[in-house]
Amino acid sequence: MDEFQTGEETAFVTDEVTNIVKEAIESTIGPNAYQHNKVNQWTSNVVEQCLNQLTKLGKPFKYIVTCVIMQKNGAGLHTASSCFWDNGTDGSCTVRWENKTMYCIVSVFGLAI
Amino acid sequence: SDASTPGRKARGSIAAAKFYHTKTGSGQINDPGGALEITSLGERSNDMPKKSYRIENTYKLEPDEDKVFRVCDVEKLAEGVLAEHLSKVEYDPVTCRDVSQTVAIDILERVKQMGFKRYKIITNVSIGSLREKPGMQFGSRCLWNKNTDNFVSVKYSNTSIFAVAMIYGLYFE
Repeated sequence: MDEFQTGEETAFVTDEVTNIVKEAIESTIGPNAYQHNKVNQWTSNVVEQCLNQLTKLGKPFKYIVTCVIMQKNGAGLHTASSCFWDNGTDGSCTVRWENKTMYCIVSVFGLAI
Repeated sequence: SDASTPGRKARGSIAAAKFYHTKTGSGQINDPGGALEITSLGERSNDMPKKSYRIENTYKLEPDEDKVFRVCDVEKLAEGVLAEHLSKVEYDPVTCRDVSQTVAIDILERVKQMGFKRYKIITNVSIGSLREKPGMQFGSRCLWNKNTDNFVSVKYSNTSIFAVAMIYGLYFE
């Protein structure tokens, strides 16, 4: 591999990833109410589905997907992330989703290889 | 940070997401649905034309033996940083936003100083209030090279807040 080009097809496309994540959340926890014993399975499913769809994009990226599911009871949460990467090729996107009983925050980080 | 080597630039990028509830003074919980605020503090090169550049071939597929992402060292470092910053902090929606960003940046800088060459680092810090005893689940999954890449997750809590820090190290081939 003598040449490394950062063209359109190897950049992190936020919109595409956002759609994938929204779809994964809707199909996994869509209409459900917060249940403590199921939350573990839900986070696993959301994350796994996101990752599967992201790999289907076929881009030369390493992905990190994190998911936080939080019960709606008035508590506050702050999340910060700092990244040491290549600004031209790497990117991240965060999707927030809620229903009547819970919040779900999914962050995807894509690092080009 | 702006480390540049011939033909290659890797700059730090910092983004923070704040998600908060507002409470009325009498202790009743207001539920307007919360709010998500995303601020980006680092440089973004969205406006710059994407360069195509040559990277010299290093013929290196794996990091040197002493430069592998050492999980135990990073874990101790992260625990130390969290304890240092958060030991006296009480939950407050305004200050905790800045605290979470500061802690994320601090952890990143210290991990960079540990000298893992050719590693991309991502640090994620979440701080929440304990008073309402919320039910919460954090999950994460990664697509990476299991031989060279790793992650560390560290938690900290005091009487009024809890904090979770996740640090990922990914080798850049």
